[in-house]
Amino acid sequence: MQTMSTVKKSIITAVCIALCYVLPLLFHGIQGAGQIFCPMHIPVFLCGLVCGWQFGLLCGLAGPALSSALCGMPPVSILPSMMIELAVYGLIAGLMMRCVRTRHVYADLYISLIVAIVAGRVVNGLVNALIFARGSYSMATWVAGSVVKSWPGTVIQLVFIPSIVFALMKARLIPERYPKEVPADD
Amino acid sequence: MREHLTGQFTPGTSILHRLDARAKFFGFLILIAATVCTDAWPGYALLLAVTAAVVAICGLPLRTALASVARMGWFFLLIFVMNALFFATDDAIWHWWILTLSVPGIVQGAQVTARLALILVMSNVLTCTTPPLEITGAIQTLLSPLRLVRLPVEDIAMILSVAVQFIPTLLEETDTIRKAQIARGARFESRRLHERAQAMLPLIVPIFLSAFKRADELAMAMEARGYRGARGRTRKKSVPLPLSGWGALALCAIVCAAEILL
Amino acid sequence: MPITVTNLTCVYGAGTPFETTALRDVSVTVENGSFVGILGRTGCGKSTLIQVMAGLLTPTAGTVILDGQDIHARRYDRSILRRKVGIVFQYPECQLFETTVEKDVAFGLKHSGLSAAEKQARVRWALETVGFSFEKVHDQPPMGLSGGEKRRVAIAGVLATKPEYLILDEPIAGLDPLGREAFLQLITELNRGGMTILMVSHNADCLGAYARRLLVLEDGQLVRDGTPEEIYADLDWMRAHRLGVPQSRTAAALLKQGGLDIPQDIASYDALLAAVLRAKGGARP
Repeated sequence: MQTMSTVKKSIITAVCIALCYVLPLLFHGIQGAGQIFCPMHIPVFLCGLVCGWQFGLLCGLAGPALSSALCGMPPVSILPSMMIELAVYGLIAGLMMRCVRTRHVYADLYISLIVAIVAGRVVNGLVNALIFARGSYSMATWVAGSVVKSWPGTVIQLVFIPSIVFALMKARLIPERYPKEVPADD
Repeated sequence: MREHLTGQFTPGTSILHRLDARAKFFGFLILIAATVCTDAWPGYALLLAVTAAVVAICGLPLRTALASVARMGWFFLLIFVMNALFFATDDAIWHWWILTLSVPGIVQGAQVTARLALILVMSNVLTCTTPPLEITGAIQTLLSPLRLVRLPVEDIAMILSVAVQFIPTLLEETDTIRKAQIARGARFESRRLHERAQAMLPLIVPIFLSAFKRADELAMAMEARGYRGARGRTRKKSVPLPLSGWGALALCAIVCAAEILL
Repeated sequence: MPITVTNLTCVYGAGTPFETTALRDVSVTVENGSFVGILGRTGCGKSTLIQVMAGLLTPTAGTVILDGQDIHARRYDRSILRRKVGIVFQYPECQLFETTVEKDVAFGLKHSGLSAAEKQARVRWALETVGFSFEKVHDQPPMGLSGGEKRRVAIAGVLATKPEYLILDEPIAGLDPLGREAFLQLITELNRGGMTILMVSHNADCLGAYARRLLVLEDGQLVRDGTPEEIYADLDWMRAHRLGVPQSRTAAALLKQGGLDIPQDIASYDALLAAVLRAKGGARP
């Protein structure tokens, strides 16, 4: 996935940032989905995986910020911690995709995703404990918030993102990661 | 999606509509800082007065101006309850397992909720009175000092403005895809979580496909016309901030100073 | 049983500065087995009308009765509606998402209660109806197909439930002339097989040649209801309402101006050819 031009990566990043605003609106119409399914995470992961760490980082920072600036969701008070969490997702997903090359697209994707998810949640917990919620934030609330409440979101991310990448490759919208070496991959 | 979305720009001629977007944006940030600094009741009273004044002069129907708060009623309740019940204190009114109800807890809950509501109303007024492209312009101005640390500010600004311009198209396509899948029998109202999750796949995959297709088309068009990056292009001449903008910023700064003192 | 629409009004964004009325007091009955075209300029309310009829939008006022039941009633079981009414949106290829063509076409059959064998038979029928060989395509990823093939797969996905009513929103947009012809032939075949067709377009040529009844919408109101021949005969009215005049009809008007005595209720090339031959005394060229 390294053969795309910078212009194309930039525009894909722009679309992913726009989706950070659009997807939560879509899920808003489906009762209670937004809170559980974390729809804003998906474009950020995808941007990091497909375009690389710089773009993933930008998408993670700009996506929630733009959404907040355009419609007030997420509210400004939780925006900074959310931006940091998503930036870590995009950054780590991009870095991992660069380092991990197992010759199997799905293995690469899953390893990168899981590391990015864990890193994002840990950083989010740390940042909240140290900066944003000064003291009132305990281990228990972090576990409750990031693990228990959002596990369906995590499962969705693990199932959906590889499916989306597969579909995008088949539609020839992004280049195949291992063009010829792994023909058994379909 | 032809329905009116909360926070969507609404054309108008009020003072706020005519105010320079940069002044509005920075003023908004200053007011947020003021809100975050507030700790005492007189401070909240002042902020409430400022917000009321902003709503009064923004020329929007009251319903539009306050829609963002109304929409999130349950969220406020949750924040309030969380703060009220998890406040660590010794003089509890009521205590059970990890839940503690206390007067300071309730006060904190009320303050956090009030802060959130005020910020929401202000940001809603900002986005209702400012076209999205002007907001990205203001963000670019805000980012421009970062050029010194070799951040490609122009490229980032280009990406942001493309993102904003994609939003209406993507909203429309998303809506069509949702309707098409419902017509084909997709069900989102299942009680079981994994079924509801599965029902999302027919939405998510097509949305990303059509979004990436748009991106592909635009990128090709840009490259065909010789676009190589935003740096070095002739930049739009930046207009100095008009007097009204400085005035608005000064007002916001006074409010912020007052909040810190109170 | 027909679909009956009564006093339908649809207002978007009521109470906001964006308030627009998309439909005003529209009443119409679509008979079973008919081929109805809906003609109108962009923004006239055609898309809103069909989306309300398919139960995808809730009207502000008025009712849609399908088989004697109000489809917008709170108690109504929408799954009946989904089975009976299929809708093909503009660019339907955007709705593909599964990993294989077979799975994607079968998506609408998920809640149908059919056995696996019956489902496969349906999928085979739908794919063959749109001109595919089931064996060739069923295990391919739909995203890898060409644009035209993707569209046919998407339409097969709507046909798989064997809807009694098929609603099409600008279905020929983006197709080349040959693809257009083939597609309209397919729709005509389905109509002959008993499927009720409701087709929205701003293209008066294709509606005139295929639809047996035409509804003309303007500013959310139903302004004309009749056969294409009746409506197209009134050329001044068509022009006054800024509807595109079909080429065959323009040709008929020009021929008459040129002195040929031919009727003016022309809605298709076939009708034009027949009229010209009759005027020339039936002589075959």
